[in-house]
Amino acid sequence: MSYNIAIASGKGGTGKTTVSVSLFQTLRKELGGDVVLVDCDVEEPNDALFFANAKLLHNNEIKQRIPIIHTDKCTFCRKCVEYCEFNAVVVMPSVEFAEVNASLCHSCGACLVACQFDAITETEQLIGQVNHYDTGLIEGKLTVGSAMQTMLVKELKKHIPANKLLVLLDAPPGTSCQVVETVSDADYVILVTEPTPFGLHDLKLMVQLLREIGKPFGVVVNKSGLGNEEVYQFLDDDGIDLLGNIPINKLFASNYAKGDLLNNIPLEIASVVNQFTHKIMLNLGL
Amino acid sequence: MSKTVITSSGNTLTSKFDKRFGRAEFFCLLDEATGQTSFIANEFKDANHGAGTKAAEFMVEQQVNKIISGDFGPKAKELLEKFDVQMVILQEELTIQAIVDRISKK
Amino acid sequence: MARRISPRKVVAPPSFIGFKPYGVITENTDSVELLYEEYEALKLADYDIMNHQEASKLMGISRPTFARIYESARRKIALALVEAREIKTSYGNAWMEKNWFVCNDCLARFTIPKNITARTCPVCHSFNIALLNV
Repeated sequence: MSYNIAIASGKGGTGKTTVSVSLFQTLRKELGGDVVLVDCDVEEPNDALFFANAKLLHNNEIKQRIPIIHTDKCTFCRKCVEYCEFNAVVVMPSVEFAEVNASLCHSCGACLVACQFDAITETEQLIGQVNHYDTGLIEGKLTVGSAMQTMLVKELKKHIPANKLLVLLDAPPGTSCQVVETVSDADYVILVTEPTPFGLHDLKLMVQLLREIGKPFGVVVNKSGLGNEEVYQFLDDDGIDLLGNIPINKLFASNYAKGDLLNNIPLEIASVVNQFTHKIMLNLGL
Repeated sequence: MSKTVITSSGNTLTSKFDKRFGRAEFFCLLDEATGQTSFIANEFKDANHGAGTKAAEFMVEQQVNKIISGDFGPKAKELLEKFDVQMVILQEELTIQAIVDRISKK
Repeated sequence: MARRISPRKVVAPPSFIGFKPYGVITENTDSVELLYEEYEALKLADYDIMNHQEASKLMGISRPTFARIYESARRKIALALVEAREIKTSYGNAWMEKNWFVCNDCLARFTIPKNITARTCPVCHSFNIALLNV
């Protein structure tokens, strides 16, 4: 059984990718191929950008099953409408119209069970793909136009090899379904925040969420030196573990923007990353 | 013969016009020929998903010709367009009575 | 009662409100009203170089009706050119795929489905309506 660590933030742009990629790189030195990084920000996966030489090994297409109602067999009895929890089936007997709205459909298959007239069959619709890289990076990439982020994250997790010691899950920003899906089977969550009012506001939402689903977590404050001290006050008052404090550094930011996050890391940052990596490993008993 | 629906926040003519379509509290059914009105509670207003789609489905089934609301979502719009239901968007704060009066004033 | 005018499908309305002659000595104040469907007929026949059969199909009307609209468009434009009159576009009997309108009197925004022939505001019945998102 591998140990799963999710990296999430609430607010976007606080440094999930920075922390995930740095942590991954540091851990790789210790654990080699026994650690994988999974980019779960399927709407905009960007972890791969920081591994310029990474080769794509293979990819899997992820498809969603969408029911199709054949109006020639349909009796417009509306039983499938009653079965559908998501109001995705529209049946209007008066105009002999029956259709499944793909953007509401969760592919649960209940309407197929409901229909006694064989009027419903399923087709497959591409929602995204899972890319496997030779550096131990796996990413999910949503098809443009698809709204099935959560389903893709769920499918993405099925493609993680089971024999790894450690799995890092880089979560999407926010506190929405796809974030919950990402952290739902994490053993530990690293929350990345920045010391600004927005960073703190969204951190609080994330803390609430993790407490509700009962996940242990710690916080990394990125861009330390920016904004104010309120976030530290909050962590202190709530007894939340401060894992590390990454100072704001222009060189580091400009390296990031060039996609050159893993080289020429400023010393002060490298030491912080090392520190919290070891802190986490210690917490895990590795 | 011409059936008009006005989305309403309550079930009387003095109620305020509800600018939401799928999540409106009530639908005021107006017969433009006779001026008669009746109110139906919107059973989908608290649906987790697809309230607009369900409301649009209901409108087509009820053979409504015209709907007056504050806005329509993309899915509702698509269905209403397909079945030739006229959509009307008003952005004023009005009572149902005021809208009814405006329509009946020829 | 006269037969109802069937709606004429117009793919895109003209991208201008009117045309004005310049360098005229005696200005003629009467403008020529060019209907959307006339603009569309002229465009299909003389700009997209379609034959009347194809064009009429596209507009959802019969070939003779298309010919009449096309003829009317040409005569109006000839009139405007010869008499140096302004051309103003007007909605006419068009029916558009993306048909959202605004009432200039009560500011209601609305659609006109193809089964409705009246070109008036569905709330205050004003004739003063204009196409949105042109």
